[in-house]
Amino acid sequence: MLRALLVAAKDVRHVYRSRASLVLMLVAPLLVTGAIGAAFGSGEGFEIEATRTVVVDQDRGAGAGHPASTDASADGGAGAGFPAAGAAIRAALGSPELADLVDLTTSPDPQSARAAVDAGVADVAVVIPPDLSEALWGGSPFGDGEPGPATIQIYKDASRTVGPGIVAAVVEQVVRTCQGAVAAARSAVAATAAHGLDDPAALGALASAAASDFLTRAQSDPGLSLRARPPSVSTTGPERAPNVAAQVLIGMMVFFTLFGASVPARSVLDEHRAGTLPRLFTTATPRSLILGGKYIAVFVVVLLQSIILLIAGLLLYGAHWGAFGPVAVLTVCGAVVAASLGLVTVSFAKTPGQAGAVSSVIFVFLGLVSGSFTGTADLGQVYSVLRRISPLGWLLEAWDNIMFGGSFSDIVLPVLVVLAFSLVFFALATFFFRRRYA
Amino acid sequence: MSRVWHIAFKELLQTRRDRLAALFTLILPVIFTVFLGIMIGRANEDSGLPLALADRDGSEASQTLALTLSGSPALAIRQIALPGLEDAVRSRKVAAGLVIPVGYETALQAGQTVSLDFVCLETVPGAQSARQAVESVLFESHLSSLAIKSAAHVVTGATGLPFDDRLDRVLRESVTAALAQPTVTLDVTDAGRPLPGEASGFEQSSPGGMVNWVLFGLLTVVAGVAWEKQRGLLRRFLAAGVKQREIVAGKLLAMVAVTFLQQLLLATVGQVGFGVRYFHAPLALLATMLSLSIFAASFGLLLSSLFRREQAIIAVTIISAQLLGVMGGAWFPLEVASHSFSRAAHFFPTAWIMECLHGITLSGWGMTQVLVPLGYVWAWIAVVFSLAVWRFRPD
Amino acid sequence: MEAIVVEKLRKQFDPPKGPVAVDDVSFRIAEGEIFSLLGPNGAGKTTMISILSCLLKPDQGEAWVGGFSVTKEPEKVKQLIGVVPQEIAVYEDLTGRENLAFWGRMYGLGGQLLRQRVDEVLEVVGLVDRQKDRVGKYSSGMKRRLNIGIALLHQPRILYLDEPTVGIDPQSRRSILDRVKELNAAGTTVLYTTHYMEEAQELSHRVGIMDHGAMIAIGSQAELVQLVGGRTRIDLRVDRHLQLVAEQWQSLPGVHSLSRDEDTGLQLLADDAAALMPRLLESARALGVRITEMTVAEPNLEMVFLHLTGRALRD
Repeated sequence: MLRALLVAAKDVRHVYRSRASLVLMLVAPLLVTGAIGAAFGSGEGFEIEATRTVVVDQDRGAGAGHPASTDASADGGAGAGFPAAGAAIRAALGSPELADLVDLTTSPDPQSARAAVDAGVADVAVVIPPDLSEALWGGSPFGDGEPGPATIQIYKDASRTVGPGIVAAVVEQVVRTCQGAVAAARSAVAATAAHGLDDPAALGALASAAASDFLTRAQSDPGLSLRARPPSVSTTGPERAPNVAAQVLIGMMVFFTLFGASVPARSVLDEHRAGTLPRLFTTATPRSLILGGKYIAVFVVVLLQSIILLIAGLLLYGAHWGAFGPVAVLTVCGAVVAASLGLVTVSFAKTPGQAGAVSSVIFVFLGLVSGSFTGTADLGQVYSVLRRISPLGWLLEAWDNIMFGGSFSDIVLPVLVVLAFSLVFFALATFFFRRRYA
Repeated sequence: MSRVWHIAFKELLQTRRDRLAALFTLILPVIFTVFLGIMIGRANEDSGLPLALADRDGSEASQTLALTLSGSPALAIRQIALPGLEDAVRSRKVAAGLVIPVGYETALQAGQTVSLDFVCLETVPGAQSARQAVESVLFESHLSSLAIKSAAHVVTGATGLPFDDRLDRVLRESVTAALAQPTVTLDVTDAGRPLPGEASGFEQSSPGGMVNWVLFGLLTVVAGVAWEKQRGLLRRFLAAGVKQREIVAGKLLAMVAVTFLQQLLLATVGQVGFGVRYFHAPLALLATMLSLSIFAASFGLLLSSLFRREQAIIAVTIISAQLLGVMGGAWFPLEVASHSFSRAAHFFPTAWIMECLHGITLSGWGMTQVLVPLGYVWAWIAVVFSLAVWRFRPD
Repeated sequence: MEAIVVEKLRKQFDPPKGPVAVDDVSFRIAEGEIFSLLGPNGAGKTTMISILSCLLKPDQGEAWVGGFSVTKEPEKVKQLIGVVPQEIAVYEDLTGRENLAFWGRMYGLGGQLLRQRVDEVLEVVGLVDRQKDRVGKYSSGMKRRLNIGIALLHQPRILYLDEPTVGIDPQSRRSILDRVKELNAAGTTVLYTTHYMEEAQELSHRVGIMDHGAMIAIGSQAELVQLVGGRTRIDLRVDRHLQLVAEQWQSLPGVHSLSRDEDTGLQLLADDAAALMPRLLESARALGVRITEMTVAEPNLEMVFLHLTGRALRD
């Protein structure tokens, strides 16, 4: 056993003396995490780029006799006090609460607004038609005729969805609010008329009153609100929200420990090529001990790598990993599975170069399938099931559980599955190595 | 010049014979693209974003809300009890979760503001869309309840009628009818030349995958050059009177050919299999793909001229490929990243390549639109290629 | 007419503190000659070949190949020379024939001439039967032969071979040496570097001995052997205490110089072998050591090197 440890110590030393290995094992995951962390902010106060929005407000107001507008263009009739719909949209988009999300400018005509989007100067153009207020307020119960439908045009950069989505939602909300007022007015008129009141002037006044009441209520009663929070593990314990960098770093760590494992694992092939492995086999040390030593080396290298990364994450990115016990168990568990994967991918190969290429392919594939690269895609339910074909998917699930405040009981199943995978990989690697070297 | 062709041809012959290279450059990317395409396709086919809903109140009001939410085409509601909901969100089985708290109905009746827990992971992009969809449903139901309240207030005031079930039903029916006939519609159009068919929802991941695979392909390229260096093959070239720039150009040509073929294959799979509209502007697509290939090949040559040892080369290549991918918006769209990040990202040529690919597949960009972003990429190519030739040493 | 002229060449790596690989070296090689550079590993032989192949620029001095300067007219020099590098610089995933065809194009050949030269070279290096096999499947001797063949494609007037026989079996070595002689007989000038004394002795018209970057002797074998001054070589093997024996015999009168070989062998350069031998036997008896083998021979290049440097070639 001592001899196996000697072999292991030699290999571990070898890996940690190589600058290139250190870069791949430690600098790479931290760098990529840093970059992604920067992309999503450090968890608090994250802001996406403000959407450059051009508004063309052509709304003429609802015209005389309608409760539409105090706007200069309209001459204020009965029910005056409602804002012109176009102005309301402008005001909503320009409101201070949206200042971080919407960067608002106005444009005199639709052509130049569209041109701004085409030229990439703006992300979205909102073209408010001249008959907007009329379409909203012009029909019964406020007036006589049925106004034709109006269309607000939202012209957006096709490659953007989030920002224009927000702008469209705001516009929609203003329009729907106006329509809510109309609905209140219409239903009030309908109910009153059903009761026998049919004086048009009285009904008009009733409609205006209902609409006004609605708008007042809409302003004072925001309705149901949403409070966003991260998922917690225990319903009784405190809520925990790991920051983005921590979530990313776990994925990166799991991915790069594979490379960490493949470096010492490849030393089996290196030594074979250099002739030192056959030479080791000529010594009195049994082959099983020599291979055992290699396995220990791979495990120790990855374990050290994980510990360093976890500490670095703590110091550099302020990551909170969770309770010490489960974190320790998962760290060891991760090192075991990475070691087994590193060894099994190398055991198929004939030369170190081949091993390097084969294992890179497999690792990238596993990383993608398991969700090491958080935020790559939102693939929904199928994906969350499918990632479980990879032990790394299970491992990441366990890390998620404890990062969000879970305890031992939340990681038992993933840990067992990961260890079972590792056992299979170790067995396979041993089978191939023994067939070649024993 | 003919030597350049011969070197390129030799490289291609070697690539064709190397099963591993074929696996890495062609087969695996296609398998993965198909895999991702099917996943995204299925995610799109699902009737809306999966939203877990935990109704802790169990009242009539909360059930009504659940029913309203189920009616939204944007959402696929899955009722899950609370601990399960947290798990489902954490393991990304659902885009987000919504919790209706105990005392919901009572609070509503008392006119108090109620706040619902929206449970989500900020790194899951679907969470934002789910939130928008929930908010829009909540807003709609809020809208109709306010309209009923206002109408009732006015009607009871004018007629002296009591606000009873009958009036409530009458008002509810007419409010619902009025809201169902909007006189104003929103027409959202994408800028650019109109494209045939509809966006497939695969326009982010397909070009992203393409850029990532080309970047990962750098590894085989760089390792190959390092190997030739070690074996003294590059010295032999010089001894045979082949010029340094001829060696670099020959290798570049081969790498460009291989990565171009790779992109062509992925674009074809994207278009034919998953409806990403790549080929409506063949010239623009050709220019973009060639620019990416040439940039990647020059970058690979630069790396192989800067580093000697296999270990160092693998390390540096993997890091640079990943960083270029992340910064270029090939992992996630830059529009969901922070403002400063998105700006910094546009320093990198990959961001501009992604912009061109998005432009082509979404906005109907043609040659004139890709010229400016590609000009920036070519500035990079000029610098990287010159550095690679300058630093290229055969041993 | 001289094929190669070297004048006061000097090359230092990583100056000012790096090793001086070639230090003020001058020599000339006549057309049609086989000239060997003999010296231990690190003597500067490969650096010399690199300079003469225009792969490295000398710090000082100049060299002319076929009358062209290696520093000013490298393109012309490269047309005249064929270089067989120490490494087996061939593509293992291409076949033997594909390798030759590729490198032929790199030397500027093409068309019918290329095909003809590839066929001829395959014949010369004895790989006709295996031309369609991937080189990865060749034995190391076959790879070495192909490695040489590539350098012959463009029929160079001057051929450099840098340690072409390292790490191969005796049969392949024999075959390579024979090819070199044939090429030379056909008029090719050969510059051959080796640290195997036997090869230099067998092949060369003249030998240059290099050590620590300097040319310490040049001449035909007969001329070089003269340097040891009519002394005789005695090869001995003893059954034990080699170190002790070597120390004792070093100081015996009549022993000019001494080197150890492997575990039990000693080589002496004796002023007078007949007078020395009884003293050796006596000394061995006194030390309790048995002499198991004793041969008296003419001095060889190994002895010349020993004489000049005090060290064996393979130290």
